[in-house]
Amino acid sequence: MASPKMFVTCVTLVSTLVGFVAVSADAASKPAAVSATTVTTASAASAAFTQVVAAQSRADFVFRQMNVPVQGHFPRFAAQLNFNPAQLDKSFANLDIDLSQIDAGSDEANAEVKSATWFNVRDYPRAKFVSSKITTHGNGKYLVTGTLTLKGKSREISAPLVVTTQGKQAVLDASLPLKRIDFGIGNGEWLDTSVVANEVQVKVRLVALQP
Amino acid sequence: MTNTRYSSPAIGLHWAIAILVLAAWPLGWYMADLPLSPNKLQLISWHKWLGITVLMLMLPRLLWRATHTPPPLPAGMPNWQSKAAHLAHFALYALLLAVPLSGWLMSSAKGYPVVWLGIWQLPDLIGKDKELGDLFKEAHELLNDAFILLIVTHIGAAVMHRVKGDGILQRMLPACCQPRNR
Ligand code: HEM
Repeated sequence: MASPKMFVTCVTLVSTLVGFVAVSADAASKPAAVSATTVTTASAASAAFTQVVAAQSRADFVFRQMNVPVQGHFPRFAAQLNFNPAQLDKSFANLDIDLSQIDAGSDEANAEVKSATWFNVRDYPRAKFVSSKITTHGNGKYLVTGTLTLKGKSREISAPLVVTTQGKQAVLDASLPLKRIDFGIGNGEWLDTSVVANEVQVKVRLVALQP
Repeated sequence: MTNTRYSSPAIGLHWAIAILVLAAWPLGWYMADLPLSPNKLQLISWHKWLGITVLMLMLPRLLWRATHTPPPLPAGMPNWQSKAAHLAHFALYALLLAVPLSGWLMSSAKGYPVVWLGIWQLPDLIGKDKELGDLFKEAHELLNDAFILLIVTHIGAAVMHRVKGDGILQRMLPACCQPRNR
């Protein structure tokens, strides 16, 4: 069994780590992208997916504090969708997220993130994404490009989108690694990204039907 | 002849865990009521690392305890004292498990996983559940109240043994740190 030396080493290691290591393991950067869905009105052959099934659609996010992944959720959002794989040029996917309902994981966190330091939901109650272009690289994989407006700042972003269709239903999964500081989310002492990482992964799932 | 001293692994584990607990307890007490800030989040993480390390060290400690007999208490010790010592040591072991476990359960139920040293994400013990989270928070606090009382008693008893000079303290001290005068 372990020797005392090993235990001493262990204790020393732990104390050293606790004392000196400010572990700032930000989530590894990933290529940015974002957003949602889309569709186009149908050609006669295949109708576009336009009717979003709200009950099955979700908008979630994950952020990291001290490298601990914390799940969040936007309970209320509206999606405008027109997705037709055969007519991508006419397809679009727009989102309108109600930030005042944000769930950042706990009551304390919710109160905090609504404040002016973070989302400032009093002055900027909604986040909007308006798609401008959807391209595909086959196999149900797409890239949605559009403008995200958050806390008064607009930026063009692109998000990978995976679409699975089954009969008259399509499931669109978009994932968007955002950088919170680009949008002024988390100012002052929170600019220190070694505690709350800059990167926030937003995941949107839309379930949509053909008319 | 039976040993009159604890063996090196037992002494090493005792003091490693003592240092960790004596860091985790005041840290937990201090951080709990801080307003939300990056500093608080950092302290909470460090607190969890310390506490989880205690839990990890309790595994070899219990294994050691289960497979070895501690040195006997001196023959002259009053019966009530040896009974009290056994009871207190048993309760300390129980709390050394229950305190960090209740912390881990609280974290899991509140939806904040434990990432030990910021590197190793431990599995959640239970799913996210606000009510259970509040319950385990209460439990963690209550268990910690009992814990600090026992720790103070434990240290008080050690000091008393030292003053009496019956050698009980020395047998848990590493060979390097024996007091000169017996
Ligand atoms: C030996 C191990 C541990 C000791 C001695 C300890 C001690 C404490 C103490 C004294 C407090 C303050 C309680 C109060 O407010 O009165 C506390 C709070 C806390 N502990 Fe621990 N703890 C230990 C292990 C853990 C572990 C393993 C975790 C999680 C994985 C944890 C998570 C927490 C959290 C999150 C709080 C803050 C609760 C709140 O106010 O929201 N603890 N701890």
